[in-house]
Amino acid sequence: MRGVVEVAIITPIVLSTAEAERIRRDLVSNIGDVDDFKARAESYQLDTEDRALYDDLIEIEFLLGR
Amino acid sequence: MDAEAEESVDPRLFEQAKIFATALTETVRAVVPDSDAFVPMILRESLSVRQGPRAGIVLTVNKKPLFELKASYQCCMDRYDDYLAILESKFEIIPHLSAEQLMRFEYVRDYRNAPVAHAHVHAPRAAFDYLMDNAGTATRRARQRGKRDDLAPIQDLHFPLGGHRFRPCLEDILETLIDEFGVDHELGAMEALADGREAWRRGQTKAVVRDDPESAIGVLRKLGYDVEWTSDEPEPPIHWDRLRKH
Repeated sequence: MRGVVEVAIITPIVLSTAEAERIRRDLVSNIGDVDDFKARAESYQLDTEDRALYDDLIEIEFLLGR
Repeated sequence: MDAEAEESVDPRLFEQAKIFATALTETVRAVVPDSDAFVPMILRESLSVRQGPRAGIVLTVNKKPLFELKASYQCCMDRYDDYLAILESKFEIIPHLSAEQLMRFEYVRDYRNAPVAHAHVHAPRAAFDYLMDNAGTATRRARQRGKRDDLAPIQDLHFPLGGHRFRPCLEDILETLIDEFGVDHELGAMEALADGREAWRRGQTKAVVRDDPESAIGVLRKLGYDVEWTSDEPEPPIHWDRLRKH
């Protein structure tokens, strides 16, 4: 380990497709219109909370290969 | 983790994810010791890595929060199945108690319309507004801006940062915030950041050699090494696309 702080090895979370789809469904249910939400994100119109939600959505969609 | 997910994970990706997330956490904790760990998530061949708090790591000056730093990565194994390849990375700097981002350093490996590694600056700037409003229309990006009814924001510009291989790493961003804004940090943090930067750049050096083995061979021969191709396989090509991409 390098650095001044030694960190315990971090074990990855492994998702199944079904789990990832469920996470995306939960996110979408909070978001509503996904296209409108993404358009607002791309034009910098999201507040802090919504941007965190957007980050979650983008992450899960990347993992799902969308 | 269910059995189906566990079976479908490449053990090399799993191992690389552990190493990467642990190293990133060490880097950040060298500056902010109580920050949450980076969380690697894998689905089949894809890996995402982000630090725990959704709002970002709080960076302080004289113990008072000044910025939040958010870092995220999208990865897979490289074409040789040896190392992690970064598909996208994003470092966002957000002033504390503001919804407005200040700067973003991004890498998008497959970007076609802008430099693959670039910075976005979010700030009102009259001179930039004038330039962007009066920009030419010979390029696709300039034309897209020209179609807007309002002034394009400065954060629409992509400032290049060194392409696929020579872009800044997280350690560079953290050290810049410490240097330029006096962000609080632990004793030994700068040394830890230098260690992290060294590891990043040595990794990038390996990637550059794979992009351009011919140049690497030439340099090694000049240094006095005896380098010959001994495999029965064809010699690896130069990846011109990687060397030429904006």
